[in-house]
Amino acid sequence: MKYIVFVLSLVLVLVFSTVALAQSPAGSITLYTSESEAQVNEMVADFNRLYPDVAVEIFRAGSGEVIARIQAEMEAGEIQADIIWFADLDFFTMLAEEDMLAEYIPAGAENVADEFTYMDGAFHEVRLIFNIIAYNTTLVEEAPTSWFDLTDPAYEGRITMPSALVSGAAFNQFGTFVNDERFGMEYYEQLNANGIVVERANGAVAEKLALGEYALGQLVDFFARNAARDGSPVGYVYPEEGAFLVPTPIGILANTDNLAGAQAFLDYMYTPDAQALFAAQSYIPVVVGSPLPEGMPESVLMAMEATPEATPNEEMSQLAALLPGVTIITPDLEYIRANRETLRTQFEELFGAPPEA
Amino acid sequence: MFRPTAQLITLLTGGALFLLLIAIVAYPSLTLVYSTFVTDDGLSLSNYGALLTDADALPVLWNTLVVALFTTLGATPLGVLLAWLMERVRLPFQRLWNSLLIVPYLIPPFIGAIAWVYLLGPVGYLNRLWMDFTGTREPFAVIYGSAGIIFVMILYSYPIAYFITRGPMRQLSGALEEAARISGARPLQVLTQITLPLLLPNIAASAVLIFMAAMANFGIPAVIGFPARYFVLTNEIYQVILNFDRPNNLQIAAAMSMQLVLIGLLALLVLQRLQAQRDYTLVTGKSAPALPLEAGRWKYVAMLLVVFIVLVAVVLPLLAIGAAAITRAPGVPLTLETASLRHFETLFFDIPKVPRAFVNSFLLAGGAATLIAILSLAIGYLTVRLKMRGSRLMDLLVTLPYALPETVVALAMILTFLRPLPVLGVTLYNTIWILVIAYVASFLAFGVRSVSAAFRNIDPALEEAARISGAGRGAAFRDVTLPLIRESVLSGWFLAFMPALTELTLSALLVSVGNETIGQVVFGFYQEGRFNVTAALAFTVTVMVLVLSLLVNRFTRRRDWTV
Repeated sequence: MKYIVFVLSLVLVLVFSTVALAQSPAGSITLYTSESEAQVNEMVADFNRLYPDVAVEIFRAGSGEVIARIQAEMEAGEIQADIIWFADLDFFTMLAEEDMLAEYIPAGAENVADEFTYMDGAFHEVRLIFNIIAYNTTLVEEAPTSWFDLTDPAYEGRITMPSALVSGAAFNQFGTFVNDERFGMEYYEQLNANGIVVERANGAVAEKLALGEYALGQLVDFFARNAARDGSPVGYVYPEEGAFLVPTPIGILANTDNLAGAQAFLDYMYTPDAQALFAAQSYIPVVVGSPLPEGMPESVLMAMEATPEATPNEEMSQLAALLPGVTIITPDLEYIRANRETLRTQFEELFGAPPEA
Repeated sequence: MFRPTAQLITLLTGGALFLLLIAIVAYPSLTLVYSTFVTDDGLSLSNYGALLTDADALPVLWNTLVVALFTTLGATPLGVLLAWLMERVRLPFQRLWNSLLIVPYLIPPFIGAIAWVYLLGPVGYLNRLWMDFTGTREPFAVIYGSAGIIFVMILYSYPIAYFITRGPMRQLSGALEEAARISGARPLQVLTQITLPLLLPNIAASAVLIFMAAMANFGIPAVIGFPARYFVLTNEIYQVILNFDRPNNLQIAAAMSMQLVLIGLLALLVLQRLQAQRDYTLVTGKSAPALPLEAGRWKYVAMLLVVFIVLVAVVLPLLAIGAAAITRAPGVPLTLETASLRHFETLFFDIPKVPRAFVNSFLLAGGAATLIAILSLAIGYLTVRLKMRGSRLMDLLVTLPYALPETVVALAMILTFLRPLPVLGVTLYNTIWILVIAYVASFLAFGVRSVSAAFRNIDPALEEAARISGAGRGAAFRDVTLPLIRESVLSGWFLAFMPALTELTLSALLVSVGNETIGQVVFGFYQEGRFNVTAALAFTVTVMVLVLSLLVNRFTRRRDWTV
């Protein structure tokens, strides 16, 4: 008798949990990302307040290493990730063309510009980051204004940027600037001649700028704002030629075994909660009308004042509405796509070879 | 009733051991070699061709050799000198100095490297002191580059020579040294003309071991070489393994790794020659040990040198990572008001993978060490006591991974276990099991050497006596041999456990989500450029390792570790 009761209750539990599973997302999802680990963890904690039953496992590395892992897993037979999120739009495009990403339009997408929904919803932009120039405020008297300030001999040997072989943000900028007549390969040759030190990742650039190991360098903007917020002597500017928009798309793998959980994760991204959290983490939110992060340059704030109507209009692109008063350079995807391997080799030849070679 | 005979049990155990060693050592090794010939158009030499045409290949090999050679030239004399001072000069608090000299060996080398970046980076603590002192903006010295790599490697590898030569130095018959001294030789003359020549095989063996360790090291050049664009083979192979954009990257990495394999095997051959030689030169008999020197001058030299080493290898690095760990944010001056524990808080409360990595590393290292202890016991018994047929082959299989840099072992594991296993259809890549296998293969030699040596030191007559008195084979082993070798098995366990606990190189390539290890997490934070968080974690790990070793020393009452 006891036995029957036990079996019955087991069956009941199973049935109920299956029903529950069908109703609200649960289980676990795995996220491969190049985003800052502590900030992603903070975001997952916030996500779990809305969806307490979805556990999120995180693998974090530089974009290059995340891609290496995905490619190794493709060779091994199955990608372990359910969601990927890192700074290599081109790689996402390739995956989508191979039908390896699940198309999905997250809730709240109507509040976001169309240009941030890629390839029919195969992947999305959920907050914005830009490559800018950051500097150590104790070492640099007059704030830089142009990308060419990095070639100023006054700072010889004290300038830095992240490696395009590791950082997706740096790779995209390299691939775009090389094909831009204002810069070209000559720009990078000038940087090299000025003794630029290539660091692995943006985090290292930010911290070493703060420590004073470098005077100025190329950096992703939110690192600079976070450093300043924590009290480090770091300032930054959106350069006059343009801040470089770094797409950091997020998408769901088609072979996910927890589609509901993964979709819930994407739904969360456009909620006011998530967008406010992004701003608090110093990112630029992608939903128009969300608060801007603290520590934005005066010029942006003033331009914001000048266009109180935060909704985009015909004349103004969505992008410009999000960050008024800032010139923006967008990635040259066509060129990057066609020259992916060459670009890596070129960068390695210029900056990666041992000095003795 | 069927009772298996002793031979049958031996045969079955031996067979099982061979199967296991083939699965985790021979098969991956052969896969590695075979892969070097695999290309898209069938088997060819084009992977090696890619090496020959690569303009970086030769400089990188050159860098590797330069680093390994100069490390050997620096660390060997230092270790031997310290061993001599500790054995021949009577110091106050002798045991304290002894234990202090062992500490650098316990600090994970890549953590030492990270600490030295905090000290001698362009704006490291020492350089900032210097700049404040001189009022310039020029740093005193920058650690990045080959000299820095060699410096840090010497700091953390001299203990190898110290361990290996100290025992023989103690056992060396005192009569020869005394005779020389009575004939009027000065202490230095005794050292250079009597002691060192007698110890030459040991010194050479430690030089070879240091060379192998330096050549195989991944963490130190990764931390100190990268900013100066100074690369060695382990770093280059690591980069190529991760560069899946490059067609055939794993196979090209395999071809590159053959350089390390060849040097490693050569070193192993030399080592075995030396060991064979050592057995003859060091028959010490029962003469009295050498008398300690009373010369006052040497006492101060010895104490100064030890203080300097401990300062440079342990105290300063710990202070540096400690200071960085409690600095609020980079560039913020450290004062009592700005000091903060927020980075420790971040580590243990905000990033779930950190506590997870501690659990994983303890389980992995403990599991692998336990497997290794059991395997060592079986291998030691079969090869030393029973002198089973195929003993030498078994020895070879155990020693082989030891001769290979861990980067190469990891690559062999990837190549072997990336795809589903034939027949079984199970994929080990991306599971914790690939790390277990890599750990057992890599650290097995530590356990086997400890246990085999113990077997060699026990006269089989003891067990025979027990059998004559009526004990069965099992009982004789259990009651006579096992108690005698227990301590060696235990020490074999720790010898595998301690390096596995903070190991970086294997996990840097083999770790997967949820299976993070301590070493890989520290390195990951460092690479992410989160220096304060890295420092907080590195500080925690170092203190943990030191406390653990202290406990182990208490527990096993062994005064020093053998390599």
